[in-house]
Amino acid sequence: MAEQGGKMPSIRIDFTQSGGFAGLVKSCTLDNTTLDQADWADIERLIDSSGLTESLAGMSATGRDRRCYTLSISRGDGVVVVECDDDSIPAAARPLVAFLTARARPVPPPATRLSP
Amino acid sequence: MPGCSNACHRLPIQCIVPPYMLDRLSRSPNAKVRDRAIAGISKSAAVRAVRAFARDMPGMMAVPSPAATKNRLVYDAKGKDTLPGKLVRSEGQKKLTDAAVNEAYDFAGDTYDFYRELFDRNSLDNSGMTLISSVHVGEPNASGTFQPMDNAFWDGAQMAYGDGDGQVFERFTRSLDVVAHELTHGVQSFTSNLIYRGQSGALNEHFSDVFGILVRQWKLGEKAEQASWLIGAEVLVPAKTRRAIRDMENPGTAYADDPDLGTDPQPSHMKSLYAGAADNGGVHLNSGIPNRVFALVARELGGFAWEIAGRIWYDAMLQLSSRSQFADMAAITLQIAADEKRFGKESKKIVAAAWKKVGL
Repeated sequence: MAEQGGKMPSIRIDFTQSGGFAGLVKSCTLDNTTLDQADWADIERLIDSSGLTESLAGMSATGRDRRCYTLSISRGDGVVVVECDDDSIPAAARPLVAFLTARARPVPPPATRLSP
Repeated sequence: MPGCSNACHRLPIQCIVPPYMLDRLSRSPNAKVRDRAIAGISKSAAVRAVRAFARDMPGMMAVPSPAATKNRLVYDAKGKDTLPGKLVRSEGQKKLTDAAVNEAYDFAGDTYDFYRELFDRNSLDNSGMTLISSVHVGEPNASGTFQPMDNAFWDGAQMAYGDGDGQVFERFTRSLDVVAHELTHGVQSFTSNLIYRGQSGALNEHFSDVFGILVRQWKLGEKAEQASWLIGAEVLVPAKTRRAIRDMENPGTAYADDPDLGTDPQPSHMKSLYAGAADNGGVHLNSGIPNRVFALVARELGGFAWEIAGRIWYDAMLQLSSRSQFADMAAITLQIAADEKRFGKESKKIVAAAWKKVGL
C-alpha cells in the first residue's frame, strides 16, 4: 500500500528465469526507480500473497525441462532469496513469478557459480 | 489417470511448505495453526518420500500398458496446469480435429517405433510403459488467470506440452524432435538417469537432443549430410533473428539479437563451458558441446546417423552412471566405437577427432 503523498517504501527484486525446453535466460531488476505507482501496488500485493516470507531453495528431482527461478526480494525488513523451479515453486508465488517473467528480458547467462 | 496414484501428478510437489516453516508453525500457541502444521508435516514428509521414490525407482511410477506393447494416451489439460487432464485419445482411436492431440499421439508413436525397431526397446522402461501426454497445458499469469504455457516438459511420469504465446512460441507438439526429446528424458530415467545438474545434466539434455533429432531423421529418411541438425524449428514463430531453439551442428547460432530470445548462449567448445548456477548449472547451455561432437561424428561417418553414431550413443546412454561428466562420455564413446566388428575401422578415430575438436 502506498504511503501518503505517493512515496513508496524501499523495495528491490532481482529475478532470473532460466531453463525450460528452450534454455532461455531472462532477468529483470525492479526497484523504486523502475516501478511506477501502479506496478508498485501490484508487486506489494503479489509479494504479500506469495507466502515467500523466508528464504528457500529446492529443485525437482524428477522433472526435466522445467524453468528455474531465482528471486531476491529486499524490503525494509530484510531479504528473502528463493531458488526454485516450476515443480517446487509454492503455488501462491506463481502469480508473482508470472509478473516478473513478463518483465524479464534476455540476458547472457549470469556467472554466479554453481554451489557444490 | 488410470492405474496411477496422485504421486504421478505435479500438484503435490508444488504445494508443500518448507519443513522449517512447518516446524515453527507446529509449535504455535494457536491450536488451529498447530494442528494444520502437524497435518502439513505428515503430508510434506509423504511428498518428499514420493519424490525420492520417483527419482530412485522410476519403474514404480510407470503406468504399464495392457498388452505390454505400444500404448498411447493423450489428455487435454484444457488450458490449466492440473495433469493429466481429460482423456481424449487412446491407442487405436481415430484422429481428432485437434492438431495438438494428433501430433502428440503420432509423434509419440514414431518415437516408440524408432526405439523398438532400431534398439529393440519396448517403450521408455523397456517393459511397455504407457506413453502419456497432456496437451493444451496452461499456467497462471500475474492476475491468476490461465494462459498457454511457453514450454514442454517431462514430469517424471508423463509429457506435457503448452500451446505457446503465439508471438515467440507456437504449440510445442509441432516438432517431432521436441516430442522425441521429452520421451528420451523418460528413457534416460530408466537407464543412466543422469543427475540433472552441471555436466551430468548437460549430458541428460544432450541425449534427449540426439535421440530427438535421430527420430526426426529416421522418420524423414534423412542422411546426416543432408540434415539441418536444428532442434525445435517448428516451435518458433518465424522471424529473421531466429532459426530454431538449438543448432546441434553449430551451437550458439540458432538465434541472434532476437528481442525475445536474445542470442543463443550455447558454447561449442570446452574453453567456453558455462560454470554458473543458472539453468541447473547450464544443462541446456553446455549440452551444445557434446551436441556438436555428435553432429561432427555423424557427418564424418556419413549416411544415416542412427546406424553407427546413434548405436554408439545409445550404448553410452545405457552404460553411463548418473554422475558421469563430459570426460566420462568421451571415454565411453571411444571405448564403444573401438568395436570394429560393429562399427568398422574408422569410427574410433572419427569419435576421437570430434571430442578433440571441442577440447576433450
